[in-house]
Amino acid sequence: MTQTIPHPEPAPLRERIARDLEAFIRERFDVPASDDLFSRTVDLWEEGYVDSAGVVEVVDHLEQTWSLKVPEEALFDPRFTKIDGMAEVLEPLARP
Amino acid sequence: MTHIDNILLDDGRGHFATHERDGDAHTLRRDPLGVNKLFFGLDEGRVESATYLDDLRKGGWAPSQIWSVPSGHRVEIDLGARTLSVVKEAGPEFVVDDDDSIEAHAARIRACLDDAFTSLADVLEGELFVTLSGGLDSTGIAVLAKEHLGDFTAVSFTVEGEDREGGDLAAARRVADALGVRLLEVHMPREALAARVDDVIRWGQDWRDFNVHCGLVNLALAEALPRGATVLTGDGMNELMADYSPVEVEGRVLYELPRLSPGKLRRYLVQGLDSGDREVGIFARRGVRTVQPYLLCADAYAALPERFVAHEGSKQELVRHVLGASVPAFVYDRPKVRAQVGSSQEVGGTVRATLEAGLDQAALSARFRELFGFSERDQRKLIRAGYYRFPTAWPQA
Repeated sequence: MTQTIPHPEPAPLRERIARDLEAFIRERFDVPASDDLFSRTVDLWEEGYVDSAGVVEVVDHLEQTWSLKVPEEALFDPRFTKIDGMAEVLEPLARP
Repeated sequence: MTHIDNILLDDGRGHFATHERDGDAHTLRRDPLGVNKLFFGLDEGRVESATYLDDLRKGGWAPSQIWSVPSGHRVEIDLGARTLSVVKEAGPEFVVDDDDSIEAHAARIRACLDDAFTSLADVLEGELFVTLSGGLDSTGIAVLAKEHLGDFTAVSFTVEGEDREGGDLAAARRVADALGVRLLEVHMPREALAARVDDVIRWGQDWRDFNVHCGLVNLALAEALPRGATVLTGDGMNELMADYSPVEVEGRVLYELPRLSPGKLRRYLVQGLDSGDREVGIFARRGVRTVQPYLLCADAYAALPERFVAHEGSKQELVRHVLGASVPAFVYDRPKVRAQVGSSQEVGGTVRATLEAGLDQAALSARFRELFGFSERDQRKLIRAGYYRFPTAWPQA
């Protein structure tokens, strides 16, 4: 008798984008693990985690990692201020 | 509300910003590179547009009600239906790789520039000037202007007391002499430059140090030109070829760039032309029209694959193929000098003038907020990834 070992469900795409983006921003912009304010729902621009030039690096990372083109319109989409919102905007465009 | 002149060539290329009205319907458009700025105020019953953010602020529009039309886009607004849409119409597409030789690319760029200058001859008005720093970009424009447009006056800037061998002005004299054109020299004391920072922030519509430092050079030049003149500049080439690097001044690093390869960087530098008005806005405020011919051929430059832009000496190599011996030989060999820095040996120019006056990046940012009545939050929202803020749908209150 064989036993089927259940495989964990892969994380949904949106969650994977958000997870990757969080890791990238923490590393690239030196966000310490002890920073309690930083989260996937914090406004990255309002709180100064990413500036006008830094967003260019974020966009480049997203385009390379997820094989997509971030449209100009996304930059000022109200959701594009937070990690979770960015993942929501980009999920339909991503090719993992 | 001010709307600066549009420059339109017979084939539709140009530097333009337009606002058409039909009852409740408004259509606003901006050229593919965003050379001409176009802001608009929007509320329940009105759309009002202007070249200058300052006009809208003085007209009573709050920072939260002011938006920009992104470069190469059309914004359609229907006040009755309370709808707003943003549609991309044009913009350069950057090529990663191809099989063409640099000679083939250079031939296409040269044909485009020749065509643009031929068309410009039909639309230029007033006395003609060419800004000339003695570097590769401005010399290229001077060479093409001489060939296609005939007589003009070159105009060059230096901070008073910084005219020295190897500097911009000395190189500009040599180029003007080689081309057989007059040179108007503008010498301005450091203190006079520092006193103009407010004007540069206001009409250059920016607080970022690089743009303020460049804007000071342009304001000094603009003040020396007669109203109604047209000036051709070599601007845009540095963006198209990603020819930028940070500058170190007394332990401080200025003009830091996104950490990207040159091939990728050029896309973002060109995108960044959307915001900041350090050339056209400043010259226009003094009654001088600006034409940036390289940007009229942005598509031809964007078609260069990354291998032709991503290495030291890329620009010299390309220009040799595009303009060859028309450019005096010494210009190809000159070390890179930025107009706002003034010399390849030491940092001077408008950079030193502003820093000596205590106007570092933090002070310039604060000055912008004061002049425009912006909060820090308003300022942070104004520019993102090189774009002035624009709406993506009817704004929610």
